[in-house]
Amino acid sequence: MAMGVNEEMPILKANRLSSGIADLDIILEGGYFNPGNIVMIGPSGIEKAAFAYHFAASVGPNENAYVICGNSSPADIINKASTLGINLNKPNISFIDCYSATLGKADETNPKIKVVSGPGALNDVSLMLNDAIKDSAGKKMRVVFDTLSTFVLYNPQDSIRKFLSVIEGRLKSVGATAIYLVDDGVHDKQVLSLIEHGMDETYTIEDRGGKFVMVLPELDMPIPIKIGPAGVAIQ
Amino acid sequence: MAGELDAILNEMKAKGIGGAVVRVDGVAVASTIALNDLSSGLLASVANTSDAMMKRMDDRQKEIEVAFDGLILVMIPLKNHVFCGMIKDREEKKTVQEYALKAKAFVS
Repeated sequence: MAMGVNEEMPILKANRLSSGIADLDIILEGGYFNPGNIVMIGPSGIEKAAFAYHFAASVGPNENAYVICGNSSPADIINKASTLGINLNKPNISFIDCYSATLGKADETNPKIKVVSGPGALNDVSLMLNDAIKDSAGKKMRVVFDTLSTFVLYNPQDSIRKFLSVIEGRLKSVGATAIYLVDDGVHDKQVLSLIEHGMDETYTIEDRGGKFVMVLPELDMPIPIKIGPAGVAIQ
Repeated sequence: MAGELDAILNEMKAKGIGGAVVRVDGVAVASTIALNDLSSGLLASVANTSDAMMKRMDDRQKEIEVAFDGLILVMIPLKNHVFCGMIKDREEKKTVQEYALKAKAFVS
């Protein structure tokens, strides 16, 4: 890309990473901030996860994607994504599984899955992310926390604050874009402020009487969205 | 390049039409109208958004017009640039198109 924009489609800026949803990329002029830390707040259903799965699945040949699983196993996430027509079973998509070990069902044989003892083991998650950064040297990184809310519920606020300030800086310094999924209505104002403090952008998904909209940063108009068998559609 | 574009824009200005050449990433290359960083970025953004809309419909844009109160902003894509002219009535549009064609030789 010359001049900081895509020459074929100049609305797409170079400092953005594709969301994996073509229409959303045009609205966002290229995608999510890159490098950037993005928080996505929404109801506890599949909606915000769908955006995160699109983002991970649009990983390019010179990129790596990592999904940090807080409340589902990698297999469950892959299945959930496939019901939306999103394929997360790709060679350059890996998982940091912080869920399965809590049930005694961790798969330690799969090289694409790194197992952590549970969402309370923030140090181990941090070490796994360090390894991921080393493995992704020279490549763009896409990271998804599914969901950050789970980690917040398992750890004291102070630990979360320190963890976020370290990993946000570390991921940004290597040119990564990370999406942190947060469940709406689960955290109080103080915790939400803590989460949003170091983030570059906040996206909110709202349920308006059964119809969903996405509220984008710097845009007054909420965008109507629909989640279906082909994933997210911007209406 | 900038020198040749300045000459073209000055010639157009002498006919009463202010204009500018802006790169698609928002950098102003030459201008005879007041154009700060923000407005050149906005011009590029309008042209790029319109370009994206047309491409989504499998079409290509030839030019864009934005009508203000008493003024029309004409934007003509030229490779990786946008040639802009501020006209007071539609008859002047042909003049802007002619100068855009001259400028095409000097942009990449």
